Amino acid sequence: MISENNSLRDNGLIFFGKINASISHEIRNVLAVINENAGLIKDLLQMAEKGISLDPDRVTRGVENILAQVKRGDMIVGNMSKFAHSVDNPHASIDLGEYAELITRIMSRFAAMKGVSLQYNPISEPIEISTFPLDLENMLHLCMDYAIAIAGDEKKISITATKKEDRLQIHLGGLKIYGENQHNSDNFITENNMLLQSLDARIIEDANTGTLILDLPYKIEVQ
Amino acid sequence: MQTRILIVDDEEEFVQALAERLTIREYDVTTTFTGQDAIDKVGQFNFDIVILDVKMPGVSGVDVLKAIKSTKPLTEVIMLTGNATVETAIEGMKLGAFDYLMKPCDTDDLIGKINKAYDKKTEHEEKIREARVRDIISSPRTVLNK
Repeated sequence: MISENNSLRDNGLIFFGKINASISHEIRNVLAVINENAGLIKDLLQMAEKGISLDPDRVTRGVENILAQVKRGDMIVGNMSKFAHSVDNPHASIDLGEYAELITRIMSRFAAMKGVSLQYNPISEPIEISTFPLDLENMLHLCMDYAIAIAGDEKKISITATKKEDRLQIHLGGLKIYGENQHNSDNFITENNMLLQSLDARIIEDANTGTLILDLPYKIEVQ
Repeated sequence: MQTRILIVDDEEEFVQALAERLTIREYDVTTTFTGQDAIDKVGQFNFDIVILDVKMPGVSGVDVLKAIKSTKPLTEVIMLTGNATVETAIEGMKLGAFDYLMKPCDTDDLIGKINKAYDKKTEHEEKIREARVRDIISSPRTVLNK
């Protein structure tokens, strides 16, 4: 039991580290764009001081690029902050849709690197779940990571949070779940069995609709 | 002759601003946003230096580096990286990259590395020329019959 807990904690730390590394990489990209555009404006002003006529359009373009990157940076930091605070309590009542949307946004960069796009379909009302937030985030990330690997020909994955009778579900659609991938899915479930158990969750595959489903309870009692 | 530079990065606004800044400094700059296009351009044209982002969708920076070193080994490559991928940049150096820089990078640092990389390339080309001349002088018939 102790080693199982350690393993879950270690996996959680690996996941947390991976996401933080990705976010800091993205922030560096934002800073690089700001740095080059600010540098360009400085170059243009120095040229103007030397008597070379200043093109206002070039300056405006540089400023607009900087402003757009500040917005992008703000969104990334917002995601990072939300992600960091999402594990303030090891067990909590949270909005499943909000968490699914957050992990979708964070995983979008990983997906883009493989030519895949992730689309979260917002829902009108909150879906409250009482669970272990870090384990849930890790499981959502693993499901998305796996879905990216088996994305269908359109390379578009749609993600939806939904209520299903006495359970809650996350649907990841647009996948190729047959042939060799069927075998991979079995491995995916086996490899993540401990995490699934911790969440009292299971994976359901629908090969006909190309959908992977993460099936969760409304509530996990803390022992 | 101007130093010919190819900038490869999927961050378009970064590439465009850097290209303008290097053009102001009288470098001959070409840009591309994908690894595959970079490989195509390196095949079609001669660049002295390639400034290459490590992490790009599709064909990665390391794959582009391998392709450059197999088709145009004299072209020098400077890798650009965010901190999450320093190890990849070091791997790039083992594969023949001239150097790497972390984003965001200081312009003077980048220009210093571009100039050093250009010097290394021209030195290498000069050595190859001298070796050819030596071959011609020592056995002109063999060389000319090749």
